[in-house]
Amino acid sequence: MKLKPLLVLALLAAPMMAHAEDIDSGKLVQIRGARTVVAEAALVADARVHGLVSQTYANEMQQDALDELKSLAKQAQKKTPDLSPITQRAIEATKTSDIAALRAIAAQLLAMEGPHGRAD
Amino acid sequence: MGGLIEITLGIMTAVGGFVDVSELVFAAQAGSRFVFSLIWVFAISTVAIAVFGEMSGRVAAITKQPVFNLMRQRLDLGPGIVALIASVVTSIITCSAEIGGTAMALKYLTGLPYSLLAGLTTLALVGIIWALPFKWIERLFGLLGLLMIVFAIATVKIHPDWGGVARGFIPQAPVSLPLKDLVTYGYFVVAIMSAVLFPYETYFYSSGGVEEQWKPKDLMVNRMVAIVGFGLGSLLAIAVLINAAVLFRPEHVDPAIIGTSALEAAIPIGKTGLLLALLGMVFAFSGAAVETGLSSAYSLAQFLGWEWGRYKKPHEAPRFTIAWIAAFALAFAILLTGIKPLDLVEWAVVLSIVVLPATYLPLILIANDRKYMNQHVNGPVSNTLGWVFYVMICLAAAAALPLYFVTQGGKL
Repeated sequence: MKLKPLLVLALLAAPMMAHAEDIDSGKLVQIRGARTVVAEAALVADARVHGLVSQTYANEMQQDALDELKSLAKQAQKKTPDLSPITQRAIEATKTSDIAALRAIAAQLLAMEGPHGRAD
Repeated sequence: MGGLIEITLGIMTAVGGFVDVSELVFAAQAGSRFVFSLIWVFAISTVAIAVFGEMSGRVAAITKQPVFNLMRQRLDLGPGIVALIASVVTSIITCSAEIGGTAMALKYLTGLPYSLLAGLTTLALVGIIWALPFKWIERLFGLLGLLMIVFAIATVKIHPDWGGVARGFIPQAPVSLPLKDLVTYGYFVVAIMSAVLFPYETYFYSSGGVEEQWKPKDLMVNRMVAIVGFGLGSLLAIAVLINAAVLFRPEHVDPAIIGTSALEAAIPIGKTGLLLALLGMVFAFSGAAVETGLSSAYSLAQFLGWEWGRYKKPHEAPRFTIAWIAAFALAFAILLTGIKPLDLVEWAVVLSIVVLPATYLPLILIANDRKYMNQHVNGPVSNTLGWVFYVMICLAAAAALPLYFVTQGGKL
């Protein structure tokens, strides 16, 4: 089985394709990561209000979202300072299960993704 | 009558065991990011796993040899060792991801700490493999994994655009997308193919054929299980994708937390839906953990010519027994490092697709060889499909690593 040519092709193509991406990719990934976690927190909080999920599930999901947001906030402090205050607001809104605030933050983050936002 | 029961149980087991943590994650993300436009990848990959699964079961029934034995015979020593190492590493990483996914689902059910649940899950799985005969290990998880049908019930309840769903089955490349999204779409194509065609599935399926001492009379059961069982199982993965497109996309959710997928059942059905979804995830993921843990030991034992098989008592196959217990211990140790199950899923999927060409080439060659198979060699349909899918797998394997790095694991 000739695996070598496939591996060589893959290794050659990686840096060429990586070079083709623009410099904001890292920031975009962070914004997208924050946006989806905030949106997930909003969805869970909404499901809790409507009695669709158990308290245990909602609490654990809330904690997971907080952990993700704290990790993103730490990364943002180093790489994307303009994202930092938004993630802080998101952490507060997640703690209080403020659905309206979470949805507003998710929409703000979606707008920040700009023309590189979600495929429609 | 006995044959019909055997076929039904086999099909049900295949359906319940089809969706694992990687399929759940990628199906949900594919739906929320690209609506229905990746359904065709699930459909084509399912035909491919049915073709290769049927082939590996047939080879096991006729030659009494599983896939890794054949790899050792057909590959040179160098590529053979590379394939062995890669498959064992991939299986252990996947096993780790499945145990992590099971522990996460249990955490959402009980509220107990994740690390404790991961440890208990590992111990329970080792205990179950030790105590139960092979057939019942397979059936226990496969049949309880049928709880995942709640995702399909949810799909019916949310009334998706069925015309759009049907159009999703047509192979397509959304060229109107911006380049970055198009590249990410390409990553998802490769990742879904890999998640459906995980090499451990073939190792486990063919080793299972030898464990259960299949004979030529079992070929019909094998064919039905591979075609109908995998086909229906794939519909569950497609249901997860459709639900994500309808429920998550409008909310700007691209699921980054494993538990989010359970909302697909909770939103239309309520707490019962959530409970069934989480229990289904527990059994489907832990079933996949059993398959991957055992597969790594099967690969190692078969390549090195050790005694192997769960039909033997542990002391009759001591190195095999140590190998599968060590596989679970390693999988648990990986989780203790703090790596998230979702990260493990991504690595497993990318590594797996690189291993796939080495898995399926020897299988096609043996299945075509009259010296081994007599009148049971591949027919023109399975032969043509086998080679077409093999070329697709090679192309996907070549593209997997560049796409992973460029898209940062599909996050771009």
